[in-house]
Amino acid sequence: MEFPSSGPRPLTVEEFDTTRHLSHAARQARERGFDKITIVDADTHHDETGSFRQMVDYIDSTVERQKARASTNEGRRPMIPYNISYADVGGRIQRFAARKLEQTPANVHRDITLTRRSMAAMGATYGVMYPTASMRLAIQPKRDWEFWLTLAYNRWIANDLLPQEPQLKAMLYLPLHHTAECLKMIEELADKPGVAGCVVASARYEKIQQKGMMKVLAAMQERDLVLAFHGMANWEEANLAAIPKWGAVQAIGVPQSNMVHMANWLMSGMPERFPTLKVLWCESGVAWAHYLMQRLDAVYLARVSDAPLLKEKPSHYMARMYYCSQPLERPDDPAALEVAFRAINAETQLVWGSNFPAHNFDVPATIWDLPFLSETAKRAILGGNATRLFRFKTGNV
Amino acid sequence: MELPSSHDIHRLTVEEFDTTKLLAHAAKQSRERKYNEFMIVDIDSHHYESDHLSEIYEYIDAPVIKQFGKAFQQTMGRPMFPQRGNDQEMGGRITRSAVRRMEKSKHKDGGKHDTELALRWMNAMGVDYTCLFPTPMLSFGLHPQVEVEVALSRAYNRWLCERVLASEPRLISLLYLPFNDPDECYKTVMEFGDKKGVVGFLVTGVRYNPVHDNEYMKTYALIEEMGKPLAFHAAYNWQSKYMEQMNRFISVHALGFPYYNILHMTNLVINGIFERFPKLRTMWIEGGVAWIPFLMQRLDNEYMMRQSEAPLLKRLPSDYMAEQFYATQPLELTKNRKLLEATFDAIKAETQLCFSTDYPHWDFDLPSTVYDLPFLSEQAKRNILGGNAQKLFGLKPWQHDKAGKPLYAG
Repeated sequence: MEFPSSGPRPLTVEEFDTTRHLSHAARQARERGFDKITIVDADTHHDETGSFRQMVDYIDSTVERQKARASTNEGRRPMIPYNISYADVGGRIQRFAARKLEQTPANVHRDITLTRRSMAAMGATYGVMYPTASMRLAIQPKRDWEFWLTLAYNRWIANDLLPQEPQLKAMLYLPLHHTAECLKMIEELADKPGVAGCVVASARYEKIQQKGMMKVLAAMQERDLVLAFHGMANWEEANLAAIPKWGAVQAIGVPQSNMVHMANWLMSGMPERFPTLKVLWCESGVAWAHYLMQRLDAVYLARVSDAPLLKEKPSHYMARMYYCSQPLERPDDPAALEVAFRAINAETQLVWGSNFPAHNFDVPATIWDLPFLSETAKRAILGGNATRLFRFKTGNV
Repeated sequence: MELPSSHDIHRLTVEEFDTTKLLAHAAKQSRERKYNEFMIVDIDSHHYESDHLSEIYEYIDAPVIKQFGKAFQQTMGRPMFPQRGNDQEMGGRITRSAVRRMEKSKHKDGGKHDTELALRWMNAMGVDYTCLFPTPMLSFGLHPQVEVEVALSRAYNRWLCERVLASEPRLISLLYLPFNDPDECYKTVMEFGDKKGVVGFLVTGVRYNPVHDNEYMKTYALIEEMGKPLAFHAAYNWQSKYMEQMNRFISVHALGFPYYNILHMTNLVINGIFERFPKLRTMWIEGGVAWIPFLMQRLDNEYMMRQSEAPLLKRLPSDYMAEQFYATQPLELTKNRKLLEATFDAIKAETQLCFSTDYPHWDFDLPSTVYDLPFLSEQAKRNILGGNAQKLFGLKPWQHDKAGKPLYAG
């Protein structure tokens, strides 16, 4: 595979191997003795589009199944919206494209092999998988397509993929436009082995507190399923379209997408209505939570009547939620990060996630090497907290 | 190529694709209606520039943007602009979009390949000239990076001029203006205005630029001086807040295209652009025609009540609108033909309306769409099918017989 260059010489890559790609991570894992602790990667991604043809067999509607099949033909427009992404920096980060070259054994699903390899290199025991391209279905204006394709994905991952590898877990994607169907999906699939919870792809406009969601959230709470909000940026949103650089759009847009849902979640009193539902916020780092705690507390104290269901300050509820660390901010002054950790009770509420193979993925050393954490806190963040959150088995697995 | 069906017994496998065969009925119509006796000009047809991005990216000047474009294409297999999933091809039922890549030509060069394919459908329909436009680039006005729209549109314009327009006299175009950068629009007109086959300039309608902004005035003045038209090509944006409320492609398509023409026309008329540039001729593409009398009535009625908000106007909005040019497709053929006749009357169709196919898109029109209208005279039909565009663009017959008599494609 040839990677073009702005200079005279393109770069040719003949092969790709995740294990070799992550050899430094593996060395770190050996040096730090990660084999002696349980590490859970609470946010790892697989390329589900490679299995699209198998998935679409799970679409009930014959007409929509035909459209989904037809969309795989060359020259057809994809059903999943494609936003411009400079994630690979014009080919400088090669794994996005070069991973296509990676060889995997025929008798194991490719996504399982690739995820096992990245987990093994980083020393992770469990991985919670999220789809990649399908997350953009949140911005598919043809809403029934979001529903049909996520139904197909959810059924495929629960029925076909997860039974093949007990160390891999997954989250059911919630198409929030179709709340009644979300409930049916949970009833059909949530009890399957490996289903760890449900995820909201955050770049969307439906309110999490909408009436139809109450039954969905109640069903999740009854089953002790984790509700994850996965941050993402939609460059076509008017305020983000004003930013002409992809990296800045990610820096602002991803946490912003979670902040909207967090504000709605709190101000509509959802923590009081669903007190035992466990909520996890992914892919936004940690600095946003500390910022929003201060901001919401200030506004709440000035206008308590805006949030009549709350019995405590917003930050108190936020401190009892879960946060996934990636992409962990690295301020010049580590004290700033320490304060953010303290605000969210990191020792019990923070879970590590790699977000591999994203452009800005984190390895476990990102947590392990933090100077202000105790050994106990490191172990909790890298695996203990997630094991408790998702009710994973500990010990030899 | 296998075209899936909702049921296996209807599954369709297509082994080859040939435009001439696809349009056999159009060719029959052309012979029956003797299109060889007069000129037919198609104001709006398309090719898929997305099939030739590796050639087009070579024309990008900025080395970093060029690398990004090539990296997108070569390694990720994606264009460097957004792609929108939609239901346009009805799950593969409109086959030509999916199977077009199976069609063979003599050429490896993308420009020559597209030229050969264009001539095939033009000959089948009896079209003498066509204005060739890109396809995905119609939404490029929404690109969040102004410099990418500038770089890619210039690369496309260079590619089109050098590889298509320079060598085929029957293919003409209105060149893409990077409207997010007014200065670059001016430069584009200066650079490409005299190139062979460039008969005017194009604003792709899906965008958030107020077209009456003073920053565009020097470009309008330049285009007016050149005597070439400025066209507005409509499209849709399902992801806009209004359109997101609709669940079907049919709804978004029906409302989305005229919406952008209505928006930009309103801004031009109300802000007196046609008074400031009285010789500037505008062309409105791919919104059909029914929106025009609607807007004429609406703007006239409001103008009579609030003239102070449009102080530059000396006449009714509809008077200015009736002097502009309009492309036919998709012509609204409804049960009540009197509506269409009244529309033609309102827009002075005999001198202002220009036929367009929008081929190969899903709802393209044939020349018979106009030719078979019962209320038009033979002269009116010929004006709409070619004569009006011939005058607007200053076109001459592209071939003659030995005695010097013009020969036409039909």
